[in-house]
Amino acid sequence: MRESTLWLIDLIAAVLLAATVLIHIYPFSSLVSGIGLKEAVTVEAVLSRGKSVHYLVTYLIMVTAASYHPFYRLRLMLLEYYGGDEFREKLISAGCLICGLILFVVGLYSTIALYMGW
Amino acid sequence: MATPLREVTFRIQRFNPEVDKSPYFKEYRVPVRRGMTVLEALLYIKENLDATLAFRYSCRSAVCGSCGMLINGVQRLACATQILELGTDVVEIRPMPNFPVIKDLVVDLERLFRTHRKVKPYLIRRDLDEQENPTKEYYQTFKEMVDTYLQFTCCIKCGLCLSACPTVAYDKEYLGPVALTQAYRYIADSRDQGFDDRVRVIDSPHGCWNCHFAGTCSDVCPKGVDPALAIQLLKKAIIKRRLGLKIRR
Repeated sequence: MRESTLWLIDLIAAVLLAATVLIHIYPFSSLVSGIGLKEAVTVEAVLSRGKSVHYLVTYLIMVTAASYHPFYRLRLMLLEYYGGDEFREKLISAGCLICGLILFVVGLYSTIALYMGW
Repeated sequence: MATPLREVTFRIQRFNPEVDKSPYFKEYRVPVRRGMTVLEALLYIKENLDATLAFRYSCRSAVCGSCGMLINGVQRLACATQILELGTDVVEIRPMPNFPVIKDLVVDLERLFRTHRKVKPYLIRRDLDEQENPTKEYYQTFKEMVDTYLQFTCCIKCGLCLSACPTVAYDKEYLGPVALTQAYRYIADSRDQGFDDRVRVIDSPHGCWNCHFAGTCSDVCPKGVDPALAIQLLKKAIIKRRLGLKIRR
Protein backbone atom coordinates (compact mmCIF):
# COMPACT_ATOMS: atom_id res chain seq x y z
CA MET A 1 0.00 0.00 0.00
CA ARG A 2 1.26 3.45 -0.86
CA GLU A 3 2.34 5.77 1.94
CA SER A 4 -0.24 8.37 0.92
CA THR A 5 -3.06 5.85 1.49
CA LEU A 6 -1.72 4.94 4.92
CA TRP A 7 -1.32 8.64 5.75
CA LEU A 8 -4.86 9.44 4.63
CA ILE A 9 -6.28 6.58 6.72
CA ASP A 10 -4.23 7.85 9.65
CA LEU A 11 -5.72 11.33 9.34
CA ILE A 12 -9.24 9.91 9.30
CA ALA A 13 -8.40 7.61 12.24
CA ALA A 14 -7.04 10.56 14.23
CA VAL A 15 -10.22 12.59 13.70
CA LEU A 16 -12.44 9.61 14.58
CA LEU A 17 -10.34 8.87 17.65
CA ALA A 18 -10.62 12.46 18.89
CA ALA A 19 -14.38 12.47 18.38
CA THR A 20 -15.03 9.09 20.01
CA VAL A 21 -12.72 9.82 22.96
CA LEU A 22 -14.73 13.00 23.58
CA ILE A 23 -17.95 10.98 23.57
CA HIS A 24 -16.29 8.40 25.84
CA ILE A 25 -15.12 10.87 28.48
CA TYR A 26 -18.07 13.27 28.33
CA PRO A 27 -20.01 11.56 31.14
CA PHE A 28 -16.88 11.77 33.31
CA SER A 29 -16.49 15.48 32.72
CA SER A 30 -18.08 16.47 36.03
CA LEU A 31 -14.56 17.37 37.16
CA VAL A 32 -14.58 20.26 34.72
CA SER A 33 -16.67 23.06 36.13
CA GLY A 34 -19.78 23.92 34.20
CA ILE A 35 -19.60 20.94 31.87
CA GLY A 36 -21.25 17.57 32.12
CA LEU A 37 -22.74 15.83 35.09
CA LYS A 38 -22.84 17.20 38.59
CA GLU A 39 -22.47 13.82 40.29
CA ALA A 40 -19.88 11.09 39.94
CA VAL A 41 -20.88 8.18 37.69
CA THR A 42 -21.14 4.67 39.12
CA VAL A 43 -19.39 1.69 37.59
CA GLU A 44 -22.76 0.11 36.84
CA ALA A 45 -23.80 3.20 34.90
CA VAL A 46 -20.61 3.10 32.88
CA LEU A 47 -20.98 -0.60 32.11
CA SER A 48 -24.62 -0.17 31.19
CA ARG A 49 -23.63 2.37 28.54
CA GLY A 50 -21.83 -0.39 26.71
CA LYS A 51 -25.14 -2.16 26.22
CA SER A 52 -26.60 0.60 24.09
CA VAL A 53 -26.24 0.40 20.31
CA HIS A 54 -24.96 3.99 20.13
CA TYR A 55 -22.08 3.27 22.47
CA LEU A 56 -21.42 -0.06 20.73
CA VAL A 57 -20.92 1.80 17.44
CA THR A 58 -18.86 4.53 19.16
CA TYR A 59 -16.57 2.01 20.82
CA LEU A 60 -16.17 -0.05 17.64
CA ILE A 61 -15.04 3.08 15.82
CA MET A 62 -12.77 4.04 18.72
CA VAL A 63 -11.18 0.58 18.90
CA THR A 64 -10.55 0.55 15.16
CA ALA A 65 -9.05 4.04 15.14
CA ALA A 66 -7.02 3.39 18.30
CA SER A 67 -5.60 0.21 16.77
CA TYR A 68 -4.42 2.04 13.67
CA HIS A 69 -3.38 5.60 14.61
CA PRO A 70 -0.71 4.98 17.30
CA PHE A 71 0.89 2.05 15.52
CA TYR A 72 1.11 3.92 12.22
CA ARG A 73 2.86 6.79 14.02
CA LEU A 74 5.07 4.36 15.95
CA ARG A 75 6.02 2.72 12.66
CA LEU A 76 6.99 6.12 11.22
CA MET A 77 9.18 6.91 14.22
CA LEU A 78 10.87 3.50 14.11
CA LEU A 79 11.44 3.82 10.36
CA GLU A 80 12.99 7.25 10.87
CA TYR A 81 15.42 5.96 13.51
CA TYR A 82 16.11 2.43 12.32
CA GLY A 83 15.13 2.52 8.62
CA GLY A 84 17.44 2.34 5.63
CA ASP A 85 17.56 -1.42 5.30
CA GLU A 86 14.69 -3.04 3.35
CA PHE A 87 14.45 -6.13 5.57
CA ARG A 88 14.51 -4.09 8.77
CA GLU A 89 11.84 -1.75 7.40
CA LYS A 90 9.58 -4.69 6.51
CA LEU A 91 10.16 -6.14 9.99
CA ILE A 92 9.17 -2.85 11.63
CA SER A 93 6.06 -2.53 9.47
CA ALA A 94 5.02 -6.15 10.13
CA GLY A 95 5.65 -5.76 13.89
CA CYS A 96 3.45 -2.65 14.07
CA LEU A 97 0.75 -4.33 11.99
CA ILE A 98 0.70 -7.36 14.28
CA CYS A 99 0.57 -5.19 17.44
CA GLY A 100 -2.29 -3.17 15.92
CA LEU A 101 -4.19 -6.33 14.98
CA ILE A 102 -3.77 -7.79 18.48
CA LEU A 103 -5.08 -4.58 20.05
CA PHE A 104 -7.95 -4.53 17.56
CA VAL A 105 -9.00 -8.12 18.32
CA VAL A 106 -8.80 -7.56 22.10
CA GLY A 107 -10.73 -4.28 21.82
CA LEU A 108 -13.31 -5.79 19.52
CA TYR A 109 -13.87 -8.72 21.89
CA SER A 110 -14.18 -6.40 24.93
CA THR A 111 -16.66 -4.12 23.19
CA ILE A 112 -18.85 -6.96 21.90
CA ALA A 113 -18.60 -8.84 25.22
CA LEU A 114 -19.78 -5.73 27.07
CA TYR A 115 -22.68 -5.26 24.65
CA MET A 116 -23.72 -8.90 24.74
CA GLY A 117 -23.20 -9.17 28.51
CA TRP A 118 -20.79 -12.14 28.24
CA MET B 1 39.51 50.06 0.85
CA ALA B 2 37.44 51.43 3.74
CA THR B 3 39.11 51.90 7.13
CA PRO B 4 38.47 49.02 9.59
CA LEU B 5 35.84 49.96 12.16
CA ARG B 6 36.79 47.39 14.79
CA GLU B 7 38.36 44.01 15.38
CA VAL B 8 36.11 40.98 15.58
CA THR B 9 37.12 37.59 16.94
CA PHE B 10 36.33 34.67 14.66
CA ARG B 11 35.95 31.39 16.55
CA ILE B 12 36.19 28.75 13.86
CA GLN B 13 35.70 25.02 14.20
CA ARG B 14 38.70 23.16 12.83
CA PHE B 15 38.79 19.46 12.04
CA ASN B 16 40.87 17.35 9.76
CA PRO B 17 39.56 13.76 9.96
CA GLU B 18 42.93 12.44 8.77
CA VAL B 19 44.83 14.06 11.65
CA ASP B 20 42.48 15.19 14.45
CA LYS B 21 40.60 12.93 16.81
CA SER B 22 37.82 15.46 17.41
CA PRO B 23 36.87 18.97 16.28
CA TYR B 24 38.32 21.96 18.14
CA PHE B 25 37.97 25.75 17.94
CA LYS B 26 40.63 28.22 16.90
CA GLU B 27 40.30 31.98 17.28
CA TYR B 28 41.42 34.70 14.86
CA ARG B 29 41.25 38.48 15.21
CA VAL B 30 40.09 40.14 12.00
CA PRO B 31 39.89 43.92 11.31
CA VAL B 32 36.36 44.48 10.05
CA ARG B 33 35.17 47.31 7.84
CA ARG B 34 31.65 48.29 6.93
CA GLY B 35 29.96 45.93 4.48
CA MET B 36 32.55 43.20 5.00
CA THR B 37 31.12 39.70 4.73
CA VAL B 38 31.99 36.56 6.66
CA LEU B 39 33.46 35.12 3.46
CA GLU B 40 35.79 38.11 3.15
CA ALA B 41 36.88 37.57 6.76
CA LEU B 42 37.61 33.92 6.01
CA LEU B 43 39.64 34.93 2.97
CA TYR B 44 41.53 37.45 5.16
CA ILE B 45 42.30 34.70 7.66
CA LYS B 46 43.47 32.34 4.92
CA GLU B 47 45.67 34.98 3.27
CA ASN B 48 47.13 36.60 6.40
CA LEU B 49 46.71 34.42 9.49
CA ASP B 50 46.30 30.73 8.72
CA ALA B 51 46.68 29.26 5.24
CA THR B 52 45.56 25.81 6.42
CA LEU B 53 41.95 26.89 6.98
CA ALA B 54 39.64 25.08 4.53
CA PHE B 55 36.31 26.41 3.28
CA ARG B 56 34.36 26.25 0.02
CA TYR B 57 33.30 29.27 -2.02
CA SER B 58 32.92 30.41 -5.59
CA CYS B 59 30.67 33.26 -6.77
CA ARG B 60 30.76 35.61 -3.72
CA SER B 61 27.27 36.84 -4.59
CA ALA B 62 24.80 34.29 -3.16
CA VAL B 63 24.25 32.55 -6.46
CA CYS B 64 26.37 29.39 -6.44
CA GLY B 65 25.42 28.18 -2.92
CA SER B 66 28.93 26.94 -2.11
CA CYS B 67 29.70 28.81 1.11
CA GLY B 68 26.93 27.53 3.40
CA MET B 69 28.00 27.27 7.04
CA LEU B 70 26.72 27.65 10.59
CA ILE B 71 27.37 31.27 11.56
CA ASN B 72 26.53 32.14 15.17
CA GLY B 73 24.32 29.05 15.32
CA VAL B 74 22.31 29.81 12.18
CA GLN B 75 22.70 28.30 8.71
CA ARG B 76 23.78 31.11 6.37
CA LEU B 77 25.79 31.79 3.24
CA ALA B 78 29.13 33.34 4.25
CA CYS B 79 29.13 35.60 1.19
CA ALA B 80 25.68 37.01 1.98
CA THR B 81 26.28 37.62 5.70
CA GLN B 82 27.70 40.98 6.75
CA ILE B 83 29.77 40.74 9.91
CA LEU B 84 28.58 44.00 11.52
CA GLU B 85 24.95 43.03 10.97
CA LEU B 86 25.51 40.00 13.22
CA GLY B 87 25.98 42.51 16.06
CA THR B 88 28.48 40.41 18.04
CA ASP B 89 32.18 40.82 18.84
CA VAL B 90 32.71 37.08 18.55
CA VAL B 91 31.54 35.27 15.44
CA GLU B 92 31.39 31.51 15.80
CA ILE B 93 31.60 29.50 12.60
CA ARG B 94 31.00 25.79 12.28
CA PRO B 95 30.49 23.50 9.28
CA MET B 96 26.86 22.78 8.29
CA PRO B 97 25.30 20.14 10.56
CA ASN B 98 23.72 17.01 9.02
CA PHE B 99 26.63 16.62 6.59
CA PRO B 100 29.91 14.74 7.12
CA VAL B 101 32.90 17.08 7.46
CA ILE B 102 35.63 16.73 4.85
CA LYS B 103 37.87 19.35 6.44
CA ASP B 104 37.20 22.39 8.65
CA LEU B 105 34.18 24.16 7.09
CA VAL B 106 34.00 21.97 3.99
CA VAL B 107 31.24 19.36 4.13
CA ASP B 108 30.37 16.43 1.90
CA LEU B 109 27.19 17.33 -0.04
CA GLU B 110 26.80 13.86 -1.56
CA ARG B 111 23.45 13.30 0.20
CA LEU B 112 22.04 16.51 -1.27
CA PHE B 113 22.90 15.55 -4.84
CA ARG B 114 21.93 11.88 -4.40
CA THR B 115 18.43 12.72 -3.13
CA HIS B 116 18.06 15.49 -5.69
CA ARG B 117 18.82 13.06 -8.52
CA LYS B 118 16.25 10.56 -7.16
CA VAL B 119 13.27 12.85 -7.88
CA LYS B 120 14.25 13.35 -11.55
CA PRO B 121 14.60 17.14 -11.42
CA TYR B 122 13.91 17.86 -15.06
CA LEU B 123 10.88 18.10 -17.36
CA ILE B 124 9.61 14.68 -18.39
CA ARG B 125 7.54 14.35 -21.56
CA ARG B 126 5.74 11.34 -23.00
CA ASP B 127 5.50 12.65 -26.59
CA LEU B 128 9.01 11.75 -27.69
CA ASP B 129 8.20 12.13 -31.40
CA GLU B 130 6.97 15.67 -30.80
CA GLN B 131 10.10 16.43 -28.80
CA GLU B 132 12.31 15.23 -31.63
CA ASN B 133 10.29 16.98 -34.35
CA PRO B 134 8.36 19.82 -32.71
CA THR B 135 5.28 21.07 -34.54
CA LYS B 136 4.14 23.76 -32.13
CA GLU B 137 5.21 26.05 -29.33
CA TYR B 138 4.75 24.85 -25.76
CA TYR B 139 2.97 27.88 -24.49
CA GLN B 140 2.89 28.58 -20.77
CA THR B 141 1.28 31.71 -19.40
CA PHE B 142 3.06 33.92 -16.90
CA LYS B 143 0.24 33.22 -14.43
CA GLU B 144 0.72 29.47 -14.80
CA MET B 145 4.34 29.99 -13.86
CA VAL B 146 4.00 32.55 -11.06
CA ASP B 147 1.03 30.98 -9.31
CA THR B 148 2.51 27.51 -9.16
CA TYR B 149 6.24 26.92 -9.23
CA LEU B 150 8.25 30.07 -9.96
CA GLN B 151 9.58 30.69 -6.43
CA PHE B 152 10.79 27.09 -6.24
CA THR B 153 13.04 27.58 -9.27
CA CYS B 154 15.11 30.02 -7.19
CA CYS B 155 16.66 27.17 -5.17
CA ILE B 156 20.46 27.26 -5.53
CA LYS B 157 21.04 23.85 -3.87
CA CYS B 158 23.22 25.31 -1.13
CA GLY B 159 22.04 22.68 1.37
CA LEU B 160 21.24 25.14 4.18
CA CYS B 161 17.69 23.76 4.42
CA LEU B 162 18.92 20.18 4.68
CA SER B 163 21.34 21.26 7.36
CA ALA B 164 18.55 22.94 9.36
CA CYS B 165 15.97 20.16 8.95
CA PRO B 166 15.39 18.11 12.14
CA THR B 167 14.10 15.12 10.16
CA VAL B 168 17.24 14.99 8.01
CA ALA B 169 19.24 14.81 11.25
CA TYR B 170 17.92 11.41 12.28
CA ASP B 171 16.36 9.86 9.16
CA LYS B 172 19.31 9.03 6.94
CA GLU B 173 17.06 8.07 4.02
CA TYR B 174 14.73 11.10 4.13
CA LEU B 175 14.66 12.91 0.79
CA GLY B 176 14.85 16.32 2.45
CA PRO B 177 13.66 19.82 1.49
CA VAL B 178 15.78 20.32 -1.63
CA ALA B 179 14.66 17.16 -3.43
CA LEU B 180 11.02 17.47 -2.37
CA THR B 181 10.84 21.14 -3.35
CA GLN B 182 12.28 20.36 -6.75
CA ALA B 183 9.90 17.43 -7.16
CA TYR B 184 7.00 19.82 -6.59
CA ARG B 185 8.56 22.43 -8.86
CA TYR B 186 8.36 19.98 -11.79
CA ILE B 187 5.05 18.36 -10.83
CA ALA B 188 3.45 21.82 -10.72
CA ASP B 189 4.85 22.72 -14.14
CA SER B 190 2.13 22.48 -16.80
CA ARG B 191 4.68 21.18 -19.34
CA ASP B 192 5.71 18.21 -17.21
CA GLN B 193 4.25 14.69 -17.51
CA GLY B 194 6.46 12.90 -15.03
CA PHE B 195 4.22 12.66 -11.97
CA ASP B 196 4.08 8.87 -12.05
CA ASP B 197 7.86 8.62 -12.46
CA ARG B 198 8.46 10.68 -9.33
CA VAL B 199 5.61 9.53 -7.11
CA ARG B 200 7.23 6.14 -6.40
CA VAL B 201 10.09 7.90 -4.64
CA ILE B 202 8.14 10.77 -3.08
CA ASP B 203 5.18 8.72 -1.85
CA SER B 204 7.31 6.50 0.41
CA PRO B 205 8.07 6.30 4.16
CA HIS B 206 11.15 8.47 3.59
CA GLY B 207 9.39 10.86 1.23
CA CYS B 208 7.17 13.88 1.74
CA TRP B 209 5.05 12.27 4.50
CA ASN B 210 8.04 12.36 6.79
CA CYS B 211 8.14 16.16 6.83
CA HIS B 212 7.18 17.26 10.37
CA PHE B 213 6.64 20.82 9.21
CA ALA B 214 9.19 22.35 11.58
CA GLY B 215 9.65 25.09 8.98
CA THR B 216 13.37 25.62 9.66
CA CYS B 217 14.12 24.96 5.98
CA SER B 218 12.09 28.02 5.00
CA ASP B 219 13.61 30.11 7.81
CA VAL B 220 17.19 29.63 6.64
CA CYS B 221 16.74 29.72 2.86
CA PRO B 222 18.94 32.56 1.55
CA LYS B 223 16.87 32.90 -1.64
CA GLY B 224 13.45 33.28 -0.02
CA VAL B 225 12.23 29.89 -1.21
CA ASP B 226 9.65 28.24 1.05
CA PRO B 227 10.45 24.50 0.95
CA ALA B 228 8.02 23.76 3.79
CA LEU B 229 5.21 25.13 1.62
CA ALA B 230 6.38 23.10 -1.38
CA ILE B 231 6.30 19.90 0.67
CA GLN B 232 2.77 20.59 1.91
CA LEU B 233 1.68 21.35 -1.67
CA LEU B 234 3.33 18.12 -2.75
CA LYS B 235 1.30 16.18 -0.17
CA LYS B 236 -1.84 17.90 -1.43
CA ALA B 237 -1.00 17.07 -5.05
CA ILE B 238 -0.43 13.39 -4.24
CA ILE B 239 -3.67 13.10 -2.27
CA LYS B 240 -5.57 14.88 -5.06
CA ARG B 241 -4.15 12.47 -7.60
CA ARG B 242 -5.01 9.49 -5.38
CA LEU B 243 -8.59 10.76 -5.15
CA GLY B 244 -8.71 11.24 -8.91
CA LEU B 245 -8.83 15.03 -8.73
CA LYS B 246 -6.98 17.41 -11.02
CA ILE B 247 -3.75 18.96 -9.77
CA ARG B 248 -3.68 22.74 -10.10
CA ARG B 249 -0.88 23.85 -12.39
